[in-house]
Amino acid sequence: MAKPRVLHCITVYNGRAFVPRAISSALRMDQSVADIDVLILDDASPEPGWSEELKAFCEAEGALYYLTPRNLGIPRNVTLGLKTALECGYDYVTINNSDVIFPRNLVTGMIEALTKNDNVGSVTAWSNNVSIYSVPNEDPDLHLADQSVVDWVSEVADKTFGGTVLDIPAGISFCIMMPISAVRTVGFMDPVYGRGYCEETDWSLRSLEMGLRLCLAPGVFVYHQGRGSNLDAGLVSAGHTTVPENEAIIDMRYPLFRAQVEAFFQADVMTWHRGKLIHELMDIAAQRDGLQIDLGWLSTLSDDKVTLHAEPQGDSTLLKLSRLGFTQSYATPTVDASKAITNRFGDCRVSIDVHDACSLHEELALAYKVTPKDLSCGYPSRV
Amino acid sequence: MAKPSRPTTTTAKLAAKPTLKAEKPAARPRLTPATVQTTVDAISLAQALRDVETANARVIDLTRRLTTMSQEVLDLRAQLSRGAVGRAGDHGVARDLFEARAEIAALRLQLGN
Repeated sequence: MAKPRVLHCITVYNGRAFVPRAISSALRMDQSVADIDVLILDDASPEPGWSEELKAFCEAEGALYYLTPRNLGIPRNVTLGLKTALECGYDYVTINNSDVIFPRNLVTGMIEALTKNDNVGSVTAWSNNVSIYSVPNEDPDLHLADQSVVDWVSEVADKTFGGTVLDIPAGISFCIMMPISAVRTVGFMDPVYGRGYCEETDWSLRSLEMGLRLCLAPGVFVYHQGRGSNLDAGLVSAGHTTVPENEAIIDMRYPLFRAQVEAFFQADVMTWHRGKLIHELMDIAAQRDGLQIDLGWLSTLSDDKVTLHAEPQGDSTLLKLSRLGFTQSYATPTVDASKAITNRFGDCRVSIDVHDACSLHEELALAYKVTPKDLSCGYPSRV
Repeated sequence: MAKPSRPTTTTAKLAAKPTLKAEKPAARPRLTPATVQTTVDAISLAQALRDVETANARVIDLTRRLTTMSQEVLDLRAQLSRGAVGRAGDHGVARDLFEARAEIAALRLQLGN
C-alpha cells in the first residue's frame, strides 16, 4: 500500500535569521510513515536579496519554493498551501510558521494522532510557545533552539503521550496538520483577517461547527521562537500580542468562544499533561546525563546534568528539578526528603554540592556513596 | 438603493453553505521544483479571482447592512429625543403639583388646621 503524502508548508516573510534552520529541520523529518514534500511559500519578502537567497537554499537542500508575485498576507498565503495540497492530491497538509525547529518525529506523530482518534479535523503540535497550551520553559531560545534537543524532547513526548490527543478550543497554525478531507469540508482561511491573526481560530471554529474535533497532539514537540515571524511580517508591533480588530470579528462570529476558552482553563487539563511531560524529561535526563544535587538556598544550575535543588524550609523541603530550562518543583516532608530523592533517582550518577549544611547531605552522601563538595561559605548563603 | 448587477452579490449567495465537498478539481501533476511556480501560480490566480468576487459581495452586503443600521440609529435617536421632550414635560407637571401641594400645606398651617 502506498504511503500517504504530506504537503508540509512553511509560510515565510523575511526571517533570514531563522528560516533556513526551519527548512533544514523539515527536510530531515522521518518519512517512514508518509512521503513528505516541503513547500516554502515566500510571501514576497521585501528584504533585499533574501528571496533569491532563499530560492537557492531551497534548490540546494531539496525543498519546493514558491514566491508570490505580490504580498498576500498570512491568511491567503496559508490558503495557497491548503489549496495546493487539495488540488495536487496530498492526503495531509501541515501549515507552519518559519520561526520553528521541527522534530524528526513530527509527521509520524501527527499522522498517528489523526488516525488513532475519530473525527479529528486538525492536530496542533505541542510547543514551548503554542498559546495557552504552551509547555513553560525558562529560556526557550537559549535551551531549546537546537535540533538535537527538539528531537529528544519530542521523543520523550512521544513515549509519554504518543497517539493521544487533547480536545482544545482552537487550533494554532504555528504547526498544525489537517487531513485533506477536513480542508475539503471546512474550506480555506478567510481573507477578512487581512495580514493575519485569528484566521486559524476562525478556521478551527468553523471546523468545530461542522462536527470535526480540534486537537492538540502532546506526542510531538516543536520549538517555536514565537512572534519572530509575526513581528517580521509587521503583523503585531513590539509590546502587542494580537490584532484587536481581528479578535473583534471572532467575538462577533463566535460569541461563545471566550466562554469555551475559559471552560478549557477551568477544566485545567493542561497542568497534568505539562507536569507529566516535564516529570518524564527529568527522569530520562537524570538517567542519561546524571544528577547534580544542590543542597542549600542558593542554587547553581548544571550545564549538562539535571539539577536537583533541595531547599530546606523547616518541616518540608522544596525539591526543584531543572534541565534545559524546564523545571519541576514539589515539596516533601524534610524527614522523607532523602528517601524521596533516592526512590526516584536511585540508579543515577550523582554529584552533591553543599551550599548550606543540613541533615540531608549526610543521608544522601551515604545513600549514593559520594563525597559531597562543600561549597558553603561558613554562614547562611542567603539573607 | 441600486440593485446589485451581479448575482454573486446577493445575500442569499453569500450565506450559501460552502460547496467544497462537491468540488473535485482535476488532479494536478505532482509538485516538482520545475513545476511548483507555474502550478501554484495557477492555483493562486484561481483563488484570487474568488477572493475578489467574495470581497465585492462582502462590500455590498456590508454597505447595505451599514446603511440599514445607520437609518435605525437615526430613527432611534429621533425616538429618544421625542421621549426626552415628553419626559421633560412630565417632569414640569410633577414639579407644579409638588409646589401646589406645598402652598396648600403652608396655607393650612397659617389657618391653623
